[in-house]
Amino acid sequence: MDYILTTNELTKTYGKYNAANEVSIHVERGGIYGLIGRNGAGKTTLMKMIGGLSRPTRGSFEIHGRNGETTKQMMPKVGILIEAPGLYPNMTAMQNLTTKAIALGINDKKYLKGLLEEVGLSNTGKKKAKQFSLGMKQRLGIAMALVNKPELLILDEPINGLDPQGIAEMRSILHHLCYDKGITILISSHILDELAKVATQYGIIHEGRLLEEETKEELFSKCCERLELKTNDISRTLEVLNMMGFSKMEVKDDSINIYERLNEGGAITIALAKENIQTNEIAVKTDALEDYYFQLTGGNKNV
Amino acid sequence: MLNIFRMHMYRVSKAKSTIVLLIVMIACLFIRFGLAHLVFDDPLNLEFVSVFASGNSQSSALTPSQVNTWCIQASNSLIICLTIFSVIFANCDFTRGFAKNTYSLYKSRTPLVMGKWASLMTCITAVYVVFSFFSLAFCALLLPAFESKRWGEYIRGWIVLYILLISMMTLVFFITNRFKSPAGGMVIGILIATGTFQTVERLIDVLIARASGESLLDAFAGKGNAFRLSDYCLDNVYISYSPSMGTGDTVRTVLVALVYGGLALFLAVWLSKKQDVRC
Repeated sequence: MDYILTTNELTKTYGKYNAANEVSIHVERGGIYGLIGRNGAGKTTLMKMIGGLSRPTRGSFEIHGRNGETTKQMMPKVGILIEAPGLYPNMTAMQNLTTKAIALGINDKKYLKGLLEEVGLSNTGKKKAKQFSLGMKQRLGIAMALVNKPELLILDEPINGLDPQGIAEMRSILHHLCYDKGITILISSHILDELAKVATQYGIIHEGRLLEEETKEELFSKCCERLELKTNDISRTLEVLNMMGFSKMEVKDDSINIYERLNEGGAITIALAKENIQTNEIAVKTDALEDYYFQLTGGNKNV
Repeated sequence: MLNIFRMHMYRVSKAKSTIVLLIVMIACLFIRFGLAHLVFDDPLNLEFVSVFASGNSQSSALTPSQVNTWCIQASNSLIICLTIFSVIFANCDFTRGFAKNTYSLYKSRTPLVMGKWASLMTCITAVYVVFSFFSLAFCALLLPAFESKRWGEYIRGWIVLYILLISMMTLVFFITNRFKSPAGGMVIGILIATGTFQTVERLIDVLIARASGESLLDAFAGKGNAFRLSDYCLDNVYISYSPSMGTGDTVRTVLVALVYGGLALFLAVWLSKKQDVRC
């Protein structure tokens, strides 16, 4: 297996408290690794250690197979966005990018403009960062993390606090970075539904310990995904779905759960519209993943 | 290090805080010299300033070095403004979280700290040069008894005060960087400017003198041969420096400044390697 990042019993202790306790993760090159855990589980601590912002108390990590002191040589190939994006509020998006670019000895305005275009901020002009919405700040934070042309991008809760449109935009940016640009992403979140839509590999962390590390296939074989559909006429909707060839589905309360061909949400909506059936809600749901998470952590549903 | 230096200079050029600082200090000078112009028409008042600046009651002329003392040492506005600027400068990338963007990329933290320090000192140097220029210009234009000779003495005093200021601002830089506390750095700067530490240092001097068997009067006057801690304390050395000092005292002043500044810079670099970045 080709790993871009592996940690070896990485531990961070504050006094007697183990914020991260012997965490060993293995991030495959070219994928999106989702780190799942509730607030205070140790996700940020782990990412800070990997990002070079915090010194591990014990353990080590390898980037591109380099460990020990030589890991530091690989740090310029790592981009980070940990907690809130580090921006100067009185500067524009371009000026913030330029500031970081100068620190790296990069003097290429065209490249920086390209980065702003990539995250959808090319038209912000002279607007200062303090006037940006949370979503715009997060996207600028990602652009900042990309200045050094990283091969590994570490994103700590980038969808936290975003509205649905902001979350969708962020998802599309992550897909573009991973699948079009080949950047490996390590992303943390406590919003399981969202992480389930992007990640290809998962690490479940709880009270500083890594409980499980699985690929998407392994995880979803343990708990299945479904397409949850709400319309104004359930019986006619079932007829349409039958005509479309769907068979693995069930009616639950006022919605229909479909367990196959989850990427055909758009086609279902169009087919229903043709039959004058109003689609009230259609979304991929992974409640079962939540159940699996709670089963692992032994907690209740307050993640 | 050069890239970090350039980055901070770019940041300062966009932040406009250096320009605001200069405007505030020059406004302070305007007020100070405006009042001086009104007061110094009376020769008795001029003599008072002469005594205040150099302790010399014989001369009725105001020399450039006295101007230096009066404008830079006796005026708290320069050191307070520089302290506030240094604290804001040193803390800005941590409070804004920008440090996360740079600290993650460098193999060593030495260039990060050194580059930031060098850019801070460049700003301070620019402010000091402009402030001194305006001080001299105001003196030449507004004070009737200004004696525009003895430039050698003036330049020597100007350089020594510069070294002392750089040393003090390095100390403020270290404290702010170490504790990530703007309040800590500002308190240190303001306590130095207001001479609060001096009281404690003098008290220790008196205790040492008494322990060495000197009379209470000599101990308070600082006349005896006992060791005096205040001679090696940066704030006291700064306040008590005069361009008319002998070579020995001037060398001691410069050495004290260099030791404090060098130690503060070394500690800032060394401790940054052991510290996590908290943003």
